[in-house]
Amino acid sequence: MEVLFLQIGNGLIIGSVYALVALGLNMIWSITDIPDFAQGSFYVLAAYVGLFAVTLAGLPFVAALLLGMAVGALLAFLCERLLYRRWRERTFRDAARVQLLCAIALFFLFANVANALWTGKPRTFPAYMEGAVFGFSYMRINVLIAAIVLFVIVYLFIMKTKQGKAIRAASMDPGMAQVLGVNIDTVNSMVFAIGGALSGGAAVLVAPLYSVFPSMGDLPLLKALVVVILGGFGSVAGVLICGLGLGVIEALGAMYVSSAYQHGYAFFILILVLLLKPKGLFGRV
Amino acid sequence: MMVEVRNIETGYGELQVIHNVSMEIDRHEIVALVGANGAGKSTLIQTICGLLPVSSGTIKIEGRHIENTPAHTIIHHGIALVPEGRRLFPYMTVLENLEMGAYVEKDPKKVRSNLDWVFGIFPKLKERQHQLAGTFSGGEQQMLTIGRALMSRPKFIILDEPSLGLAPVIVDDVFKVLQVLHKEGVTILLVEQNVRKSLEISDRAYVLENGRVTMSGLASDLLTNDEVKKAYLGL
Ligand SMILES: Nc1ncnc2c1ncn2[C@@H]1O[C@H](COP(=O)(O)OP(=O)(O)OP(=O)(O)O)[C@@H](O)[C@H]1O
Ligand SMILES: [Mg+2]
Repeated sequence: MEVLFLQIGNGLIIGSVYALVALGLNMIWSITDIPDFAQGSFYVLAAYVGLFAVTLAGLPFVAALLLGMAVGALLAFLCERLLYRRWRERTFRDAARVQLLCAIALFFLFANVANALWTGKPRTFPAYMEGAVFGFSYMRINVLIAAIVLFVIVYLFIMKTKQGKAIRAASMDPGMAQVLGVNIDTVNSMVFAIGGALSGGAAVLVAPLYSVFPSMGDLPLLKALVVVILGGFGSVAGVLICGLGLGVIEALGAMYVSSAYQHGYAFFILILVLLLKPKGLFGRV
Repeated sequence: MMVEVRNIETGYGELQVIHNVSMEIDRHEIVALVGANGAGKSTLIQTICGLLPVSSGTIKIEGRHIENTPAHTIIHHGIALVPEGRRLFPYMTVLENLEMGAYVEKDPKKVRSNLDWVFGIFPKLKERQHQLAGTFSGGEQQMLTIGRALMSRPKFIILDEPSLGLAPVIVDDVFKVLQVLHKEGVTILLVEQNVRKSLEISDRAYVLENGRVTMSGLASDLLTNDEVKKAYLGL
């Protein structure tokens, strides 16, 4: 019983990491039509930035977290501004395919940059907090809490602010939104920056639980893609539920079936759901 | 002059739809744009609103060039659009759709007073302001589309088939609203399935055929013109 409780808790914690990365991916994908795989490498770079902020600059963890989010946001913003924006359907045939290739290329490029600069050796992210309740370290619990706080912030931003409403309007009908004065370039920049900040935040939050290494973004990226596809495009709540759910299923699968397939469950579920319900489990918000 | 369109050519990629079209609309005029399905009315309108680039020619609003400026800047010239097919934001509430209509208005007090004005014209929108736009009936959606366009207090409003698919009673409502706007001094460009009705309330009209202007003049003259009668009034 206690083991079950622990596994569910750990599932929720890792699931909240998937959900954070997925939320950014989802927003970028549903609004700009770009599956921004590069988010997986912003995750890696932000983790290193957070690590160095703590180990080299001696900053407190919260500062490292904010710095990681800022770096993620900046990288994502720049990639959109300098690269993706060059290829638009209106002016460029096959824009979608070029953007997809660019996203994949960026993912490998940045992961390799991390490898070249800091080697493949996993580095320990120093613990920033001692203690535990119910068998969960505070650092683990913080991941879940921070993820939920970030979800609420993004949700309120999207639903309540003028910028958020412009983002939603642009996602439903970009042409009409423009006629009403919404600058689509600004919307794209905002969405990429938010996505990058979420990926970066997820990475720094989880780094102290595991370690920091150049390929640490691969699995979260793949799992987040599964979550996006399962959660339905444009649904904030769907992403949260699917992210947490996937984490729990993985944890329980590892316990009851086999931990050998731990990273396979996501794709098994993905294939199953796509066969039965091709539009994902949820509609919109 | 509110709008001056000079010799524009436009279309979709390789496909040219609008050929050398010129058109003028004076301040406070209602002008009807008449043409068969596929004549290019919506294409012309989208071009004026900046959604399609012109390949040549000029468009001026109150003397200022707007051709090939980014679409999101056009509204600053006082233009509002009631597009073909409504194009509401279905997963946003009625109120949010209206707020989007006043997106460029920075002063919340003005947004508030514009909202009151629109609610005055369409009381139903006020009652149902928290409903999702996508769940509205066709007639309600049409009111909302017009309301959204009015939220920026436009000087010039373009309506592309605002009464398409509406019950006759509601069509009358739409036309009444247009006359109210006209009295308030708003300049109007109107595309309507119901050609007779649109000519009756218009000052002047243009007839578009295969992307070219083939006739233009006073609406009252066109109403009695034999060719117009035969082609568009079903007589
Ligand atoms: N997005 C598009 N891509 C390619 N061709 C288009 C597109 N939209 C319209 N066309 C073509 O342009 C021509 C003019 O279409 P348009 O919609 O402007 O006509 P319209 O006068 O508004 O017709 P209707 O009365 O049916 O609304 C048509 O031949 C149409 O097939
Ligand atoms: Mg049309």
